[in-house]
Order: sequence, then structure tokens, then C-alpha cells
Amino acid sequence: MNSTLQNSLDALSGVIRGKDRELRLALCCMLARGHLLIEDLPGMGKTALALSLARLLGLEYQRIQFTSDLLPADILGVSIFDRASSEFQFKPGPVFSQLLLADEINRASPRTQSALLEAMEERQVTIEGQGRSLPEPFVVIATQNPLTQQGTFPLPESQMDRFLMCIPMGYPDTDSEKAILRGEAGRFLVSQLGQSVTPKQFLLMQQEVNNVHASDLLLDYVLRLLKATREEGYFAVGLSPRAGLALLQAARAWAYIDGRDYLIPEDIQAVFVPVATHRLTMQKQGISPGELLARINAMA
Amino acid sequence: MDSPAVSRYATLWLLVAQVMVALPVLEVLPIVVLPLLVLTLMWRALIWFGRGSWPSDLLRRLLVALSLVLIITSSGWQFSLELAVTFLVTGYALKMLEMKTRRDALVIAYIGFFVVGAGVIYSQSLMQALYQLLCLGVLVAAIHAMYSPTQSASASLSIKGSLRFTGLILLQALPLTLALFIFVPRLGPLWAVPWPEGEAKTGLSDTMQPGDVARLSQSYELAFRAQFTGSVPPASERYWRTLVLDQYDGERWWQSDLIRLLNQFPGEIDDERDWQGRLPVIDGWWQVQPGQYNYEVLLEPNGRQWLPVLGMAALSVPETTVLRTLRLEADKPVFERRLYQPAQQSVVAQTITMPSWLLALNKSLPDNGNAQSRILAQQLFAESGRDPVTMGRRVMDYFNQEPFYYTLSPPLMEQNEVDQFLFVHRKGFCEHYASSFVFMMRSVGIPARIVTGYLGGEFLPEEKVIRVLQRDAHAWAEIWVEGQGWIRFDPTAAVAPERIDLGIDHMIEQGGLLQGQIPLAYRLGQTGFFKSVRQGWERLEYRWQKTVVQYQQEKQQSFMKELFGTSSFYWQQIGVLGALLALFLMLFGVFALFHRPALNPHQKLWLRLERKLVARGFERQVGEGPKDFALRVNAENDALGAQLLSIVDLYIRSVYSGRVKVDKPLLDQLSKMIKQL
Repeated sequence: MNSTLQNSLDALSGVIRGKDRELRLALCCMLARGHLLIEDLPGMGKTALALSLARLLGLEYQRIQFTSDLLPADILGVSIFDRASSEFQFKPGPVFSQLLLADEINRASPRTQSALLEAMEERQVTIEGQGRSLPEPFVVIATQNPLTQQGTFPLPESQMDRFLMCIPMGYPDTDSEKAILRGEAGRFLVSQLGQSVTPKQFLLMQQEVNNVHASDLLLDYVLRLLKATREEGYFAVGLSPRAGLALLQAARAWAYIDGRDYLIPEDIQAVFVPVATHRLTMQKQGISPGELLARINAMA
Repeated sequence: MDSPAVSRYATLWLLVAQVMVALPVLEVLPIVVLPLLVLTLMWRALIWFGRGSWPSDLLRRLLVALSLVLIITSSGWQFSLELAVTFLVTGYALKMLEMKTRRDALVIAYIGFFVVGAGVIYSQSLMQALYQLLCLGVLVAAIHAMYSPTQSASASLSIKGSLRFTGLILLQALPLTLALFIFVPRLGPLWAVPWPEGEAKTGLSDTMQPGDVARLSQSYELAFRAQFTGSVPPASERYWRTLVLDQYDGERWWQSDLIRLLNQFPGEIDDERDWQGRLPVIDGWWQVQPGQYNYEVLLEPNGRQWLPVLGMAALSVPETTVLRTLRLEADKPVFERRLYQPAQQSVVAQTITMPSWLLALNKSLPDNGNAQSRILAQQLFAESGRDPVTMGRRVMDYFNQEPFYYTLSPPLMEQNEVDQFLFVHRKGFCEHYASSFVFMMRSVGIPARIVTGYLGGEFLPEEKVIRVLQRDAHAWAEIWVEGQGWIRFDPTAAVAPERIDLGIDHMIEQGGLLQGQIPLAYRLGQTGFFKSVRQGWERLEYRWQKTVVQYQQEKQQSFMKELFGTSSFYWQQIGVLGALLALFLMLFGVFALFHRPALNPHQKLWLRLERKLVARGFERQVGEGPKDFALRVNAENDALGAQLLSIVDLYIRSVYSGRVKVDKPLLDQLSKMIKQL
């Protein structure tokens, strides 16, 4: 186990109780240079997670609350005419930060959503014909309410692909919930979190993740999983090669957190569900994506 | 879990399969059902094209009810094979209207296989078999299409792929099919559907009226085929004896039956042994000796009991009886194509004196009518010195010398037919000649009767097969001569000898018959290139019938006997089936062995470890990685887990890290650790 990261995780679980796995997945996602989508009902600790992560990693943090009247300029920034110097001056928007929390992203109009998603993919934004690159590291943690809620604009499938992982938070177990009620855990603790990794260290770690070795056997395993999603008839569309790359990168990060510099099958299994779920369209209702993916996992 | 939807591509295959599979059985379905079938098919096609919607629940129920009513009313409230097949085909069509999931599609495809099977009941010809093979292919392709990925690169590519796959899978099934065909016991059905009654096909019947045989000669249906080993009879001897008609009422000839005979000759007939609706054989009526011709007959199903034989029937073969009239009769009506080998004997002498009632029967004529003919007969009889054989020849000469004509369309003769024929019209077909011949014989007290059967047939030299069509039907006469028995006279030979030597076709071509329309297709097949093609096909067809279709219980038993000697048949079959099963298991095993991915030394060690752990009660679950497994074991059993964790650590490092050098010491270490576990 990588001790630095382990410490961070321990600190995190002090704030968010009973969600060790979700916390580790979130960290793993960031290590893999991926963006994270957290999907669940309001009040499950989505924002607390994002806040804690930002503090722990000492990242410059911005938050946008998405609403239906949010405009792209509200995210990217605008040029304002400065009378003193008689020229336009660019006021960067919240997107120019290291960790951006996009809260309730599916409440914004598609136009605004796409502005953000473009920035996520390119890691730079073009404003008034001028490309401006975003800081490093650049991580977006977006939260999303389930689509059944009113007043939401579902993210198009192609945009979902921009997120490396999609994690549901889920209800805490009884013990953890009791701790929250007792006031032993919760969002108020976020401010007490100390920084355990500097952004520079974090960038280094991201580079080290790339060096995690994946043996040929495990590449075959990934291929078999991808093939299973394409052939078994469970999904309208199977996983793309890009999804395969994402899966491998996430698994590497997972192994890195474990302190290994090589992959084992368990790494892939651990990240498969969060990496694949939001990229697949179910053909039939009645079975949760997770169950089905676990089944494919067992078959492959 | 819900079954996935059926792709458009698979549905297309199923639709094509449906049309193809249903075609051969359409002719047995009642007409009223056909519009229903077409309707459902078109409806389904419309849905396929995206122009129709699925029928509602209510509508589907109505359709089912409607088709039930149609089927049952058209069947005349009788359960028959046709009814069963109609149900099957209608269900097959209607089911398409509720096919939404793969499960439904599979059910439809499997019903398709049954419909193909039902087609076999009605025809077993080679052409049909090839067509059905094609149908099977389409069905298999349909099933393949159901399981193909939903988005295919292009339709033509996937059709090619489906066809390739289907061909491959059918080829793979071939050895098993052959083995099952050869060895699986032919069991009788557990239940039977009544055969269509009164559906006797074209063919000779046991009554004869003027015009019957002539009508038959318009039929181009196959009657039977005979294959010879050794010498083949010349055309003039190809008299296929089928029925003997000895009762006459002045117009109609028919076969005597016992009830009538008992009334006719009260107290005279004492021999009623073995009466099953026919006259029994009495031992010692005739003598037989090895005959000249050795042949077997493949009779087309006709729903009747007669079996044609060359010359006179001498000895019975299994499931047949030789009747007193020296003809062969099957114990049951022939509803399936039947292969039989008449005894290789020929009748040399019919020694016994006939009982007086039987002589009387063969002399009996109506009391009145045809006065002129009777006078002529008396006159000829006197001229021939009252000798039966001379008399027969004299009548033949009379036919030959007077201006008689052989024609398929004789004028209508109503009263005193024989007189009208002999003195007025003098135009007739074989039955007129045979009938008036027997009439004249009987009128002077010579026992005589009519024999119907077939004369001639097409000879295929390569197989030594004679194909006899219904149009080769013929009638001739027999007279009884004390001490010699029944002697054949064919009066037609006196009028038109070419009929005997060259066959009926020759007569029609030469205009020897006043009426004669031969279908173009048939005529084409008689000359040149088409003839050789047709005969080649018929040779194939004959082989198919003999070796494949006729491979029934009896042949199977004799084949098995040849293979394994004479021990119990059933044990042989069980043994063979067992051996086959073992063979397939072995093949499967070999296949599985050779198709296992090559294992590296680590994996071999790992498998050893797994076996060892199973013995300790820990089994790795499907999809469970080595580390998870070790952790699980560790949670349950500390001591074992600790050891296992260190092994697994070494294992995963050497297999997955790609940085640890895999060499013998490392493997040895791993193996040692496993051993110590």
C-alpha cells in the first residue's frame, strides 16, 4: 500500500464514513487523470467528497452550481473592457482551476454542459479565438442527480464517455449513519482536513501510474471483457476501444494505490463496474448494470 | 432474465424459412386455411418493413379462434393426419405474429423443423429430400442470425457469414446423422394418426369397366420399379400380374369375394380357413421350381393391397399371401413405399383338379344378352375341334384377321357391349379385347378370367431397373386347361403386337391409337439429351429410395447381422449406440484437450495449488482473482491463509509484474511452497 495515499484515504474516511471503496475509487480516478461523475440522490455526501479531495490534495478548487440558466461564459470566463488601460481584459472563469466541482451538472442546458465537457476533453479552452490551456492537474468532479428527477437535462451518451468513472454514493450503513447523526462525521470536518499531498507530488504520482506494468495475460483479460459487452446481447452498444484504454488506466491507478507497479486481475475487476456502467446502454430493464457487469466479469 | 429481442436480420431469415418450409405441405392443407396463412405472412412482412403494427391481444385470440374453426370444420370433424399437419402449419404461421423475443423466435424455428419432418410423410423423393436439406439450412441460419451481434457491418457480409456457418455446422452434424441413421432402432410410433381413408391413388382397382384401363393410360404417375439381378425379361414377357377378375355381370368385371361366393354356391365351399377377406391358399395346388428371374419391386404407395409380380405368384414372402388366383397380396394396404422381393420361383404346373364350384364360377355368364357373340363363339369352337387352346388361338386369329383397331378412345357401347364391339364398332382398348375374349370362352364352357396388371415399362440398363408407370396398365385373359392349369392369352397382341413389344408410347407416337395426347414435358424426356438427363436422375432417385428411404427395420437388422454376426439384435444395437456414445465422448475429450490454451509452468503450478486447496475445502470462484481468493481463505483460516498469501504474492509477482525474471529457481521455490502447504 502506498503509505501517502493510504493516509489520505484514512483521513477521508473520517469525513465520509462507511464509503471506503467509493473514496478509493475517487482517488483512483484522479490518479488516472480522469474526471469523475458522482451519481446519486441529493444529500448523500457527493459534495463533501469533492471538497475533501480538494483539500487533501491541496488543489486549487472552484465550484460551480449548475442551474438551467447558466451560460458557457459563466464557466469559461469573459473579456471585460478595462477603461484604465483601454483594452479588453480576460477574466478567467471557474474552469481555470485544478479541481472543479460541477455540482448537479445535469441541471444545466446542454449548451453549457458541452462547454465544460469540451474543456474536460481538450484540457484547454478557446475563448475569442485564443486558446488558453488549463492548469495541471485538471480534474473535474461532477455530481449528477438521477435523471428521473424533474428539471434535468440528461447528459448525452457521447458526453458520458468523457468521465472516466461514474460512482453511485449509496446510502451509508447503519453504523456510519449513526456516527453522522451523533456528529462524529460529516461535512463540517472537511475544514479540519490537512493537506497530505502537494499538487506537484500528485502530478508525479499521475506519471508513475503510467508506468504500472500490465502483462499480456491481463491485456487479454481486458479484451475478453470488452468482447463480452459487445457480443452477449445485453447491451445495445458494447464498449469502445477508448473505454478499454480507460479501463486499463483506471486499473493501473488502482494497483498504484495498492503500492504495486504491476497489474493483477483484481485491479481490473475492481474498476470495471464504475468505468463501464455509464458507457453502456441497457437493452432490457429489470437488472442493474452492476449485476450484469459482475456476471460478464464472471464469464470472461 | 428476459430474452433479448430478435433482430430484423434474424426475422428475415425466419420469414424466408417459413415460406420455404411450408411450401411442400401446402397441397395437403384445406384450401380455406391458405388465405389465413398468406394473411399472417403478409402482416408479419409489413411489420418487418415497418409499415404495420403488432396485432393486439384480442385480435390474436380472434385469429386463433378463427383458424381453429376453419381447420376443424374443413376436416369434417374427423381427426386425421391432415388435420394434425394443418394445426402445425397454422400454429407456425400465427406464432410469427407474436414473435418479439429470442425465445419466441427459437420456438418458431423449432416448429419449422417439425414442419420439415411432416413434409417427409408426404414425399420421400430425392428432390424433396434435397429441398428439405435446404430448408434445414435456412432454419439453422435463422437460429445463427438470432445469436449474431445486432449491428453487422453490412447485410451481404452477414448473409455470407450465416451461410458459411450453416454449411459448416451441417457438415459437422453429418457424421452423427449418419451414425444415428444407421444404428438407431426403428421403433414403431407410440401413437398413430389415422391415415386418410379412401384416398386410393391412381392405379388398378378390383373392378374393371370398359374405359378404366384406357383412363389409367393417361396417367404419368410411377406405379413401381423393379430391379433385376441376372437376366432381364424381354419386353414380350413383362406381364406384371396384379389382379384377377373372375366375376362378370355383363358390364363390369370384379374380383370374387367369399360372401358372394357362399351365396352363389351354397354348401359347396367348405374351405374357409384363414379367411381374411380373401380366398385362402390350398396346399398342393401348384408346383414350383427355381425361376429364371431374380428381382425386387419397389412399389409406390397406392392404398391397395395388390403387389405386382412377374408371371404368376408362386410363394409368399413376409407379410404377404399368395391367393388362389396366383397373385400376391399384401396383408395390409400399401400406404408407404414398399420394397419386396417376390419368391424366385415360377409356377410350372397347376396340378389339382378345380372344385366344381370354382369351375362353375369361371364359366358363369349372365343368362341373356350378346346373342351374336355366343353364336360366333359356338361356331369358332366347332371349327377348332372343341379344344380350349385351339379355341383360344382361333379367337386371337379372328381378332387379327378381321378389321379390329386398337384405340384409347373407343366409341361408347351401352347394351350388349360384346356384340357391339365385335360386330359394330371393332375399336377398343385392351380391356375390350380381353373382356370379349373371356366372354366367348365362357360362352362355350371354357373356364376363363381376366387378369389386370401392367405390361412393359422403361428399362434403365445401368441399374437393371424397369420403371413401370400407371400408363403401362394392361388387361389380358387366362383360360383353364385341364392338366395344364391357367394359360395366358393376350388378345391385344393379336390386334396391336407393337403394344407388347414396344410399349404404349410407341403406339401413341405412331398414331396407332386414335387419341393420344402426351404432355410436352414427358415427350421431351423421351429423346436425346433430356432423356439421358432424366434417366440419370431416375437412377439416382432409385438408389436413394432403395438405400436410404427403404433402410427400415428389416434392412437394418440384416445390415447389423452382416456387421456383427448373429447375436441378439437388440444387444447389438445397444452395444453400437454405446460404442458411438463413447466414441463421441472421446472425440470431445480429444478436442477439449487440444483446444485448451497452452499453460505456462506457473499456471500448471497454480492448478496444482487449486486442487490442493479444494481438498482442504476452499474452491476458487469463477472470476475470482488469486489475491481475492487468498484473502478469502485468510479470513477463514489464518494459518493456511498466511501461507497462501505468501505463495500468491510470489505467484502474482512472477506472472503479472513482468519484471521478475522467471527462471527455474523461482519456479522451484513456488513449487516447494505449494508442496509444503
